[in-house]
Amino acid sequence: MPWNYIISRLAMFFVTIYIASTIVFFLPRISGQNPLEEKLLEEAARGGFLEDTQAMVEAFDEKYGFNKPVWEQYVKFMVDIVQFDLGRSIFNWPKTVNQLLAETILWTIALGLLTLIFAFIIGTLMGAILEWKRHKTFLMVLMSPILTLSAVPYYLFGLVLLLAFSFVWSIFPLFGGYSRGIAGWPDWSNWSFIGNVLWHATLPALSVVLVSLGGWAMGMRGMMVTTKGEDYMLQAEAKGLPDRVMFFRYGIRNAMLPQLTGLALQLGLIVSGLVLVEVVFSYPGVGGLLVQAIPRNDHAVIQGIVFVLALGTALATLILDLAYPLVDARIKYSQG
Amino acid sequence: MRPLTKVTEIPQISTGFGSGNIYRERILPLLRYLRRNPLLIGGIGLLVALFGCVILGYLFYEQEDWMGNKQGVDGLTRADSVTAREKPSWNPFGVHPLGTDEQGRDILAVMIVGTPLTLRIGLIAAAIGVGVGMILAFLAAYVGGWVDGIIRVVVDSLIPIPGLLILVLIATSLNPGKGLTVDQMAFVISILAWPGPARAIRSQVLVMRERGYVEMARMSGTSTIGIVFREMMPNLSPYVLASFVASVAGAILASVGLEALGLGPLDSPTLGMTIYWNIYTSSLLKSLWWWLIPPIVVIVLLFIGLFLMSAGLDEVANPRLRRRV
Amino acid sequence: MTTAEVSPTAAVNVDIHSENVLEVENLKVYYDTDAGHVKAVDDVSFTLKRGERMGLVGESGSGKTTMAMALMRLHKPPAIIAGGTVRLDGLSLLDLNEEEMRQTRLRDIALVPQGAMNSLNPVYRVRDQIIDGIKHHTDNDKMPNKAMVNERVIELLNSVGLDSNVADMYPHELSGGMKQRVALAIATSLRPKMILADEPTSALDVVVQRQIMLTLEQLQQEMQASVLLVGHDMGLMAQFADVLGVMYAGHLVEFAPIKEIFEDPKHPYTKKLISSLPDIEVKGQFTGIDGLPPTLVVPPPGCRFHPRCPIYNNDEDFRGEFADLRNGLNTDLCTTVDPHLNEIETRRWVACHMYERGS
Repeated sequence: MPWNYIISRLAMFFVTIYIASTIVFFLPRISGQNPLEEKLLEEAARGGFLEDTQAMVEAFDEKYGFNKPVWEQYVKFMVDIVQFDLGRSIFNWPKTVNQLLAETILWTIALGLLTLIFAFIIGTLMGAILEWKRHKTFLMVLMSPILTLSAVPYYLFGLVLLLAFSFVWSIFPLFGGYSRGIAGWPDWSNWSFIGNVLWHATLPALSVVLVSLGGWAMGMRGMMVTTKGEDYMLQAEAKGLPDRVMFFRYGIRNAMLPQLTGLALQLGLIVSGLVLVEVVFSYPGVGGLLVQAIPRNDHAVIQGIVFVLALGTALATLILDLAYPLVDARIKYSQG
Repeated sequence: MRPLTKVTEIPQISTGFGSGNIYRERILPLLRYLRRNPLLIGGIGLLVALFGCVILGYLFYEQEDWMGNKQGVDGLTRADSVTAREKPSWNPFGVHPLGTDEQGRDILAVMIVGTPLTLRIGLIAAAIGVGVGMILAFLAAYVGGWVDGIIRVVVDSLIPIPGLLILVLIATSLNPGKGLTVDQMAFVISILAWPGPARAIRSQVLVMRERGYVEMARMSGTSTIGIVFREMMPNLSPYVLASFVASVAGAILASVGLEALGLGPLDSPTLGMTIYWNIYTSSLLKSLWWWLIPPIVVIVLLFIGLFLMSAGLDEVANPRLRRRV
Repeated sequence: MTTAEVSPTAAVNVDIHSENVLEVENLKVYYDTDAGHVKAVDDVSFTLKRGERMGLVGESGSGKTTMAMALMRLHKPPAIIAGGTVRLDGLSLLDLNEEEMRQTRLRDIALVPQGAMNSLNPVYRVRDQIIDGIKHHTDNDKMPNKAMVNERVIELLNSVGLDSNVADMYPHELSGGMKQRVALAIATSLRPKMILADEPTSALDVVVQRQIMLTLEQLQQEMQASVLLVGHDMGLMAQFADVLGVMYAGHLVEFAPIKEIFEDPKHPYTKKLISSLPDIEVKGQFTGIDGLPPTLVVPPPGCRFHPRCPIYNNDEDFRGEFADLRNGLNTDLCTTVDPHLNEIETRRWVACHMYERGS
C-alpha cells in the first residue's frame, strides 16, 4: 500500500481545512464590531428598554470568552472546530449552529447532488456524442442554446425560469421547498408530501442542470477530440470493433478521466453555487440560512456554513485523489 | 467543385518598414485568422455592441425627471435621485422606454449607468488577480524549490475553498450596514482572483521553460529577466489574455453574486444591485417583470460575450482545439 | 510456396481458386481540402499472391500510408476513396457496408500499427484487448468459454514470444518491443489472410526491430498470410519482401520482385532511390535524392517526377545507363502526359514514358 501517497494527500486535506478555519475565524473579526451588542440594542430599542445592555454584553462575552485575547479565542475556536462545535447562533438563540445546519443542509445536499449527477451524466454523454458524430447537424443546433446557457449564472437563469413558469404560466410554485400550512407536513413517509417537494424542486433543479450541462459537454467534447486522435482509436477500428464498443470502452472510458476531476471539484462547489439559487427560490437550504445571517452579522452561523462547505469540498477532493488511481492504472500513487 | 488547377495565391513579401506594411504584415493576417475564429469575433462583437449602446446612451439618452425636466443619465449614480413622476410603471411608448422601478428610477438609465460599473468591478479585480497570479507563477516556476512548494500548496488549498462564501465573510465584516463602494468591491473580489491564473500560468511557464528557443536564449547568456520578457511573454500572451478574460467573467460573476446577497454597493445602480433590489422587494410577486428582465438580459449578454471571447482565445492559445478541415 | 489453401473463415462468394489474395485496381484516394483535391493516391493497381510479402516504399507524403489505410477503409476525412476496386480473396471491400467491413477487419485483413504508436488502450489489460477483437468477430453462441479464451490468449502471447503473465499487464508496463509483440498477437488472433504492417518497427532499436520482423515472418509463414509492409527502409525491405512497390507523389511508379528491382531498377526514381543507398560492399556514399517531393494540390503536369528526373534533366550520372532508352524518348511527353503503369515484362510493372514505345 502506498502509504506516503495517502499521507501526503491527507496532509493536503488538513492544510486546506486549517487554512479554511483560520480564514473563517479571522475574517469576521476584521471590523471589530460586536454583533451581540447590535442585536441587544435592536431588541432593547424595540422593547423600549435600554438599561443594562452593556452588562449583558459583558456577561455574554465573559461566558463565551470573547473578552479574552485574540490568540486565546483562536485556540479555543480551533479546539471547538476539532470537536465539530460550531458555536451558537445569536439570532436563533439558543439554537446551535449545528442544529441550524442539520435543519437545512440536507435540502441543499439533496438538491445539489441530484442536479450535479444529472448534469454530469447527460452533459458528458452529450459532449461525447457531439464529437463522435460530428456530422450530425441537429446536435450542433441542440448545442448552441445549451452552450449559451452555460455562460449564465444558475440563479439568473433561475429567475428567468421563475418568471416564465411560475409568474407568466403558473405551472410551478413561486417559492419554498414545500407547500406551507398543511397539517402534518413535513412528513417524509407521505407520498403526496414527497411529490410536493419534487414539484417545488423542479425549477431550482432545472436552473442548475440546464446551465451546467454545457460545461460538462464542452469539457467532454474537448477530451473526446484528443482521445479520438489517439493511436489506440485507429487500432480499435482496425481490430474491427463495433462503433458502440469503440465509443464506450475506448472513447468515453479514456476521455472521462479528466471529467472525474471536475466532478469532484464541483461536488464541493455546487453547494456554494446553490446558495443564490436557494435565495431566488426561497428554498429551505443552507443558502436561505446564510442570507438571513448576513444582514444580522450572525457570525457563528456564517462561519459555520463556510467551514462546513469548505470541509465538504476538501473531502471530495481527498476522496477523488485517493480513488483516481483505481480508474486509471497509469496513475501511480506518487507524490506531487 | 473547385477547379483543381487553381494556383494558390502567393502572398507578397514586403521588405520595407513603412507604415503601410504594418497593415499588410500584422493586421491583415490577424483579420484573416479572425475570420476562422468565429467565437472570438462573436464575443468581441457582442461586447463592442453592448458598450456602443452604453456610450450612445451616455451621449444622447435623456430621461425626464419628476418635474418634466430632461437630464442626462449621470444623475442616477445616487440612489436617492428619484426621477419619474409615476412609479413603478411600464409604458414603452412614454418617456421611459423600459419603464420605472419601485423608486421611480428610469430603468433604461439604470442600465446605461450600471453596465460600465459592473464591468469596472470585473476589470479591476481581474487585472489585480492576473497580475498577482502571473508574478507568483513566474516566481514558482523560476525560483522553484520551497517557494514553488509553498505557492503550490497555498494555491491548491485555496482553489477548493468556495470563493463566494469567503467573499461573503470578507464583505460582511467590512461593510456592516453601509455597503462597499464599487472599487472596494473590486478589491475584495481580487483577494480570491489570483489562484486560478497563478496555477494556469505556472504550468504554461513550466512547459515553455523547456522549449528550444528558451533553452537557446539561456545558453546564449540571456538573463532570466530577459528570457521572461523577451522570449516567454510574447508566447504566453494568448494564455494570459484568455486567463484575463475568464477572470473578468469570474469577477463579474462573484460581484453580481455578492450584490444579489445584499453585500454590494447600496448607493450604486450596478446590474447586480438591480437584481438585489428585485429580490429584496419581491418584485415578481408585485408583477414588476419589466424591472427584472433588463438587468438579467444585460448580464447574460455580458457573460456570453466574455465566454465567447475566452473560448476564442483558448483556441488561439491551444491550436489543438482549432477547427479542422 | 503459394499454395491456395481454403481459409476456414472465407465467405461463400469467394473464388477459392484465385491465386491473388489482394487485387487493387485503379485505386484513387483524394483529400478534399479548401485548396482543392489533393490526389494522395492516384490510379494505383497491383496484385498480391497468397503468402506473398510485399514491400511498399516511398518518401513521406508519397501516399503509401494513405493507401494502406484505404485498403482497410480506415482512411479518415477529408480523405475519400474517389474510385477503383480493392478485392480481398475475391471479396470487393469497397462494396461492403460498414458492418460487413467491420467483420472483415481483423478476421480477413489485420493491421500491425506503427512501432512509435500507443496502439493499446491504456485502461485495459492486455488480455482484455486481445479478447475483445476475438469476441466481436464471433457469434455469441459460438463464443468459447472463459477458460478456452484465456488459453487462446496465452497461446497467442507465446506465439509472439511473450510470457503468459503479460496478459495481466497494462500497456504502460510494457516496453516498446513488447507492445509491438502484443499488436502482432492481436493482428494474428483470427488468422487473417492479409496483414498490413505500417512501419511496424519505427522507433524501435535495431535489435528489437530484427526480432519483431522475424516474429512477423514466422507468423506469416505459419498462417500463409500475405503481408503488405509499408516503410522507407530499403534494407529492411530487401531482407523481408518478395515483391516491392515504389510510390511517388501518389502514383505507384514501379512494382516488381525484390531481387529484380534491386538488380535492375527500371524507373529513374527507383534507380535513384537504390543508388542512394549506402552500398555495403562498395562503401559508396549516401547521395540522397535531390529536390523536394511535389505538392499534390498542384502536381507537376505530365509525369509527376519529371522536375527531379535525372533522365528528363539529362544528368551526367545516368546518361550511360539509360542512353538507348533516352534516345527514343519524346521528352515532350514527360511534361504533358501522365505515364501509365504498364507490365513490360512478367510481373515487372513500371510507369515511365521510356518504356511505353512499342506497347
